[in-house]
Amino acid sequence: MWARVSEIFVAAWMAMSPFLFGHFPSDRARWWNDLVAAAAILLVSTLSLWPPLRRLHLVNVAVAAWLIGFGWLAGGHPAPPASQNEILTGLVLLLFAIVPNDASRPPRGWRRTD
Amino acid sequence: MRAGRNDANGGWQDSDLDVPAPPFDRNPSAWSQRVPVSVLAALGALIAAYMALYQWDRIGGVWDPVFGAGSESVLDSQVASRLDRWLRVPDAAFGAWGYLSEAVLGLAGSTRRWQFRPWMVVLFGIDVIPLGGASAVLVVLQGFVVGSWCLPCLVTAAISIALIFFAWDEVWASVAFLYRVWKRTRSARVVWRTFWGVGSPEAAAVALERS
Repeated sequence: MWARVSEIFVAAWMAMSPFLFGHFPSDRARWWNDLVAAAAILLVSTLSLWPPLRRLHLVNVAVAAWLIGFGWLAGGHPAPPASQNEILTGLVLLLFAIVPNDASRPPRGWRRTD
Repeated sequence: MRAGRNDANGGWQDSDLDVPAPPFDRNPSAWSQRVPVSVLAALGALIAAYMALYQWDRIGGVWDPVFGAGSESVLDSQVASRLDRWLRVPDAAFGAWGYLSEAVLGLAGSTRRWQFRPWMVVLFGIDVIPLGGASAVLVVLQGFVVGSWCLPCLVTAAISIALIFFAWDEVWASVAFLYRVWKRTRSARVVWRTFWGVGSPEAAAVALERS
């Protein structure tokens, strides 16, 4: 569960990022990228708390890869803080996205089911 | 208690988690071992983040009581700026993420993850042993290339090496478990499924035998 909660904090961070890093109003791609990523993470993490969709958090691996790729390609060199934030936030999301919901318990296939 | 359908796979409960992992007579997945790993890795992440603040120009200097301005010339070096061009982020920020990954992978999983989730232990092992070890060697080599030394960098390299000593036995126990599953079944499919945390009667029998 803690991995999903951490992902929701990452989503909150991405939602604040356009304001914290002061994206220009004209920079629509970056605004959309950060806000859509935040919404996607929030949706995926919340839905994967429902047992039938417990593996859905793996979609966050793709969101993380997207954030890293977008930040890297759109950032260029030297990358502006907003792009560095996308890369580093994507890397952090990647760490949580691979952790299963019930990581502190035996996996279902090993567990007593009565 | 009524038997569940997974009892052939061992039917483990949350109370069965803290057991010794052969070939050791201790549990290398115990919190007593993994919490220090994560605390040490988090300390490495903090030191690296401090150096990243300098590379981001958020602070004007780096505290180094031994090499003085050496730290700053390492962090401002050609090597560091070339890494920045590739990574798009300062190398110290990437290093901080590396230590954070060791802390998170150190905390993830139960105290019997060497049996239940070998993929997690192996990933943690790859992160700490070859990657952590290589990064420590590169940090030391950077000192020779740049011609200056950096105390915070050397402290993080020492943390990387210390983490290897804390982490190796858990990885060994997990790989040894997979090897015993292979010896018993000679089935790549069972070993593959065990690696990914799928229980089976064969793997349960291996886990229950004393060696």
